[in-house]
Amino acid sequence: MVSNFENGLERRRFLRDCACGIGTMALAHLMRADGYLAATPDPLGVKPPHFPARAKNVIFLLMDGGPSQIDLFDPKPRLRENDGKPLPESVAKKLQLAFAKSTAPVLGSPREFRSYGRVGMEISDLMPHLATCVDEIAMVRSMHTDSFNHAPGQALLMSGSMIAGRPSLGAWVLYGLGTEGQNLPGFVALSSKSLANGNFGGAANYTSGFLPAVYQGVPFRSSGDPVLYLSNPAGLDRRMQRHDIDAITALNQQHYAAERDAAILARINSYELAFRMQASAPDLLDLSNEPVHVRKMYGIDEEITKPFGTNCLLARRMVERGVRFVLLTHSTWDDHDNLNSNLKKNCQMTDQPVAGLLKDLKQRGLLDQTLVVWGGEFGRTPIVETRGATDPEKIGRDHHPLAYTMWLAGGGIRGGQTIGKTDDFCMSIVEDPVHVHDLQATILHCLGFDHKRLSYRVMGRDFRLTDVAGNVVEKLLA
Amino acid sequence: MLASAARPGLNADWDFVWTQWGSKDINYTVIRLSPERRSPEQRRFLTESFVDMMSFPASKAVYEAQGFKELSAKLKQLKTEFPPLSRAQTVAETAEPRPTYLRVRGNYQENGVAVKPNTPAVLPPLTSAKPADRLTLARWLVSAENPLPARVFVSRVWQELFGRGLVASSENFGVTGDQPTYPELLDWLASEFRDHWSMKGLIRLIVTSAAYRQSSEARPELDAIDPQNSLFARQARLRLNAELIRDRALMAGGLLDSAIGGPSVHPPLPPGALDAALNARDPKQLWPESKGRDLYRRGVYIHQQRRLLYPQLAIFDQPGAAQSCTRRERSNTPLQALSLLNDPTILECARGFATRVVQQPSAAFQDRLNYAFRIALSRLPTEPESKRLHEYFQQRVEMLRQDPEMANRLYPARVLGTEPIDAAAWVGLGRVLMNLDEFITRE
Repeated sequence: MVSNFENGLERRRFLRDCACGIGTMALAHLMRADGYLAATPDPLGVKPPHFPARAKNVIFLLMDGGPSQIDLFDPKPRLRENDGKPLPESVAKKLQLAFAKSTAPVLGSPREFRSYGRVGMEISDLMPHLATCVDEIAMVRSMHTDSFNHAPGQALLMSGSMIAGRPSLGAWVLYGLGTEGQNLPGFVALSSKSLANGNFGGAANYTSGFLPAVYQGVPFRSSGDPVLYLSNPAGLDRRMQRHDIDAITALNQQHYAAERDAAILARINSYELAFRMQASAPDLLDLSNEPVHVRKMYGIDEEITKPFGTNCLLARRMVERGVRFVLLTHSTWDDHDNLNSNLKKNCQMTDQPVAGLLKDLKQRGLLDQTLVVWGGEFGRTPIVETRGATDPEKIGRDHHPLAYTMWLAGGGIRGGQTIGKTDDFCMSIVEDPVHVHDLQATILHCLGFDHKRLSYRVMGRDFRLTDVAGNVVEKLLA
Repeated sequence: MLASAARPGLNADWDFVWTQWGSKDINYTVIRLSPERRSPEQRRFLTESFVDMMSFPASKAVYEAQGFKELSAKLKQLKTEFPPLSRAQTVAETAEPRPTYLRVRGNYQENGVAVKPNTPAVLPPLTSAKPADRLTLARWLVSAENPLPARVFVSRVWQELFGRGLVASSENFGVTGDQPTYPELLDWLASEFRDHWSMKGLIRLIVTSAAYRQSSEARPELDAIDPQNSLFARQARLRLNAELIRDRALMAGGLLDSAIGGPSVHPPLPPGALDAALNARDPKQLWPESKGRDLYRRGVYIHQQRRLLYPQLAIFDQPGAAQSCTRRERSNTPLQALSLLNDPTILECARGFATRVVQQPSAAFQDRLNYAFRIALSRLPTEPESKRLHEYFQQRVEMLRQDPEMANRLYPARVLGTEPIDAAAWVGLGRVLMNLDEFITRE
């Protein structure tokens, strides 16, 4: 995987990529003759990380809104015992909440937990499929973050800063590693929803920020062209497109002969890539050749699991084709009210596809090189938030940044373990706190980067994803 | 009306007006203010309402005799002619400045030492003894002793014209920034600019210089000495900014509306653009699609918001508005190629372009190609270019002859006296020209 311009592999790949279309031999000759190829390294070309990596790709399952760790991953019998009573005073005063009052009563979880796998990892009855994968996953029950609101929380999780606009995690990864499959974008964003509204972070979750724009994530759209302007305009067939591109390339070459600007050669290459992307993206999206048992794993033929399942299957197909980073957002888990019914619905939509993804990656030998991350911008409170409702089926939980759960699996991660511990009320962390910056440092570590050295100079200083913080969580590593 | 409000039942018509018009609390508030305390906007609002409402209490004869009818009509007409008044936020100094502290490690909850407004020690001190407020800061910025703002500005203008500032790190003139390549030139331009603060004068000074008017052709002999061309021994080829790429295509298609100013416009978004980026509750409200000439306004007038960049502009490196940007990227990606090839706007421009070409009096291919090059690239084609495009044109005509339906789809407009296949082939040729590297590059 490691190659660069010095040893000539990039040059060979570049020429091979150019080797369709009319007149490319002349182009190759021009480039060789002028030595321009080395002068313009491809910003998306594959680059080696700082040290040998365990993972090559990332699938980030962003659970927008903040799923309730108490009802899914971190069982708290004491909450049930104290259900309806106020929190002990010593616990309550730590609270920093968006909406709920700190005097609100404790809300015990109606969920039943059982232990699964080699180490007996506890998983709620809402996630029976994930429960069959626990030996692959490392559960972090001691996540904490700095923001109790969605947009800054997601910005912190996805870009290392609460102020939106910094480069996103995926952009950093693409900047650091480049991409292997240039027929597709190196960083893709997919999304599905359980409710009508979209996700809180929006485009900030896949922005390139101050990094060059080539590292920006490309959203695959659920309606219209999956990639913007992927299909020919109405009235133009593929033969004509090729005919036009041949003429464009020929004239660009003539112009290059006069101007000698290497940017023109890069432009010629972009047109070839674009033409091939027009063929390879529909191929990527054509799921009809996936065997029935694989479709079943992801649940893409069931109405409830179809949207998220399709995205999970696409994520696997992208990783197979060399896409470096897939951001897969599911919104929304922001259950201020109707907690029970919303959680049930979101779990029905996502549980089977997530488990399908892990198993499918594993059976194809891709899990070892693909890091899978699951989680939201924060968790939810042990106390009730009643938005005008008192019916136990209608109440919910508020945002909780101080102690919540995320999990990781795959490349570089030691599965089958639970890290960190929260107190009896899941109010604060009592063991192995993992800050969002620590998670980011660990993700970069799995990809072969020292998070302190993956930096970009702008505005007079070197910026990095983890700003001036972050420690690799050694316990997570395989 | 107030009398009626105080004693309901006195006059049923006025009662009706009061209940109707006063149904909004704000209206009650305005009318109860003493006249001298009403703002100009409130006075205008009252006058308009009065004219409007008089049709109820006044009899039709009185209403017409006193001229209310004409007044009302005139008001309506004025409203359609002039845009509604808008408000602008402004700021004012507080009498007693609130205390300001250093925030320890940027944490807004942790106060460090108290600080007072001043300038960094490396820069000249504040010029006057007056309170350190915004006006003093403004005067300091443009004072003769302070060379920095003028230097920063001229370097920025230079950057737009040469692709690189006299100080390359245009956002950073500090110790960690780049050194100016020509410090004397930077200072001279800065002092010229500071004498008049005329942007037009500054730009004229630069664009009429020998340095600006150099050719942008590569000079291989310079590659070893100055590969980045930081000494400006030649002009640079610069890919156009996102907004200009769109403008140039509209211009070549004869569609560009070069009107200046006015509200932002909302050209059509590609399907799905809204649901990917936003909490789109009502897309129509969020992106009220423009109609008519507004579709062809210049790119700088396209509506921008932080969470939704206009995709075609974002693809060509228009930066997001969440952070300030002094230097734009000039990337080169397959998505840009897809955008220029497949964006329906570009195809529409190519159709407009074809219409312009086929309306030329001469039907000879070379004459038309010369014209096409002039409107698309502001030059004439070279011989090899003419040869290659002639070959392209003949092939395309042949392809379209085999599939005349395709010709109709590519050029649906029926322009009198044009042959559809011929026009459709020019649409293709227009698309080719608009996709050339040269088309989106300033040379």
